Amino acid sequence: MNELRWLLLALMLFLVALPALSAGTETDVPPLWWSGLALVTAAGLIPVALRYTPSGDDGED
Amino acid sequence: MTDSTLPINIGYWLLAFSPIVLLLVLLAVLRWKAPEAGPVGMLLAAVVALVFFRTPFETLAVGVGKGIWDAVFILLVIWPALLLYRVGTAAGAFDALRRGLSRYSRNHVFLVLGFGWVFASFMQGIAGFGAPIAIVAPLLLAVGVRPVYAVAIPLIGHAWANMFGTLAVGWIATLQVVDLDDEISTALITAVLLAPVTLMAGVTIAWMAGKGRGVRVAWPLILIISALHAGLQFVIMYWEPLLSAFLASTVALAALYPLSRWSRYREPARDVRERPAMRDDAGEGDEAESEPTMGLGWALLPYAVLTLVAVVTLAVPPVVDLLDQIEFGPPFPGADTGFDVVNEGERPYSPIAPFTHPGFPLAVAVLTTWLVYRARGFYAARRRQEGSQPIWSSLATDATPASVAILSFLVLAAVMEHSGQTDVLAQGLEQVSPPLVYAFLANVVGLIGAFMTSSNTASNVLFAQLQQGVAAGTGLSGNAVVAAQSAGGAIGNAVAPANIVLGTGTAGIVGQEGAVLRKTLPWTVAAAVVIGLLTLLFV
Repeated sequence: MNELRWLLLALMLFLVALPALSAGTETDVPPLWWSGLALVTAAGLIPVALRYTPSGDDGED
Repeated sequence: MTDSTLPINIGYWLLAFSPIVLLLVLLAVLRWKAPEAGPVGMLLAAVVALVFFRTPFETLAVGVGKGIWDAVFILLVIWPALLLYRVGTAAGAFDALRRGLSRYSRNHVFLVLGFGWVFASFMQGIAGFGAPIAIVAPLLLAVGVRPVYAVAIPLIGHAWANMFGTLAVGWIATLQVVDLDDEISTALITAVLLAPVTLMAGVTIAWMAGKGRGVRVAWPLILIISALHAGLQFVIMYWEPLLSAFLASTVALAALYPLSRWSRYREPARDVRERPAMRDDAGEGDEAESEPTMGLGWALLPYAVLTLVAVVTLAVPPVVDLLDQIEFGPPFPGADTGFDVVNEGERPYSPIAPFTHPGFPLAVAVLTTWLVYRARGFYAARRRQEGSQPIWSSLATDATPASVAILSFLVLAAVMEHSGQTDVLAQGLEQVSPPLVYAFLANVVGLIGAFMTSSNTASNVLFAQLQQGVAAGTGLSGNAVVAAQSAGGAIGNAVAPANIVLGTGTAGIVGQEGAVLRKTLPWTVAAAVVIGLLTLLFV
């Protein structure tokens, strides 16, 4: 996967986390909001990890 | 907020400040890209919240969720704005715009001020939420401005209009969180504090366009536009604060036409030799090139549609009332911390009304433009000249890193708010400052709020009540301190990372946010000093 696709994945993780966080906290279902927090943590770590990963693909379209 | 048991001391203040400092260092000193720096700041804010601010994980989850929703509001502006840029580029509209405008003015100082200051302010008057940056940056690129300056210039140029722009949503929100003993006085003081901000913007942008000679060429224009911006906003404030920035910036925009007929601004500024903001190859519009794919009128079509739809859907009360009936947002429960910081439940939280959202006029403009340009064969003509012009893959390249950055910035802000870090920042300033020093620094609190949230409105919602409380406790004028908060929130938008990313996305320079910040930060600091000094006259 090139850098752009990894960032697209991070973006998706952020957006998918939103309903989990809202529904999980609103209906008091901890596994749901915990999964939301996990998704956001993963989304936040992806761009940082990319910075320290040698890029072999510039991702030009 | 005031019932919390938050420890207000230097250690906690520094802890609360650490995510902001980290963000500034990563962006401006170490030159990280915004999509990399934002998540690091976000994760630090979460760790500080959990470890030091007694924030339960569930409260953190509520804060993170609200931050993502706040970011979605902004993303619904940036995505259609980026698409509008790509649709225009693929049809050759920016090339046509540059060459079409050169028939009216070949003076780069005039064009840079016209787009970066006057048009950006006009866009802020109606749309706001970063749209002026995302829309104006590509226009400045089209007239030959270097990409970093193309982002920095509208950031500085639109700042004065943030408080009463977007039909004064910031003012409406302020009135919801504080009870002012004299609303009109507060509004008028805010207008006075913002007056030097627009003047400073004009001078700074002229300096960027041509150093001292640029300012010498531009000074009549700067004085006229500043007087229209600041003077009309002040006068209209007596009648209707909600329209003050919109009408003032509209009249200023209209004034550009007669000014463009003046030989001083019609002809090239040939004696302006130092042009830091301009590309080396930026000509005066007289170079020999292939014919543009369209005329100036067609190139301006998206902006005409944008303006028309924005005015109808955002400024005509019966239409707004009708369209506002459809809205949605995610529900969130109340959440508190071990320091008794309480965040009320909201069901729905900050609902979005899609048809009165500032992204809606942009989306209509994109669709109309695409259909018309396609029907007139502009895309095919451009392909013959320049080869294939991909729209969707270019959009993904621009939008994805910018979106990740904005999401992380807004989550950072929400986590700081829900954990009480934001309260500690403001209350810490209050405790160490004698009244007059506090009055001088009151706008800095607003500035910090806008830096974190990229919104004057959000900054006032966060801090206006606190600022009024401090004023009451120290014998300062509450009206003046709330006005300073509002003015600080306005200029804070020029350094807000989320706003900068809106520009770097459309200017195609994602990753150079630090370079833009280094251009806008000195101006913002200078504006904060001027606002601080002026505030002393009113407290």
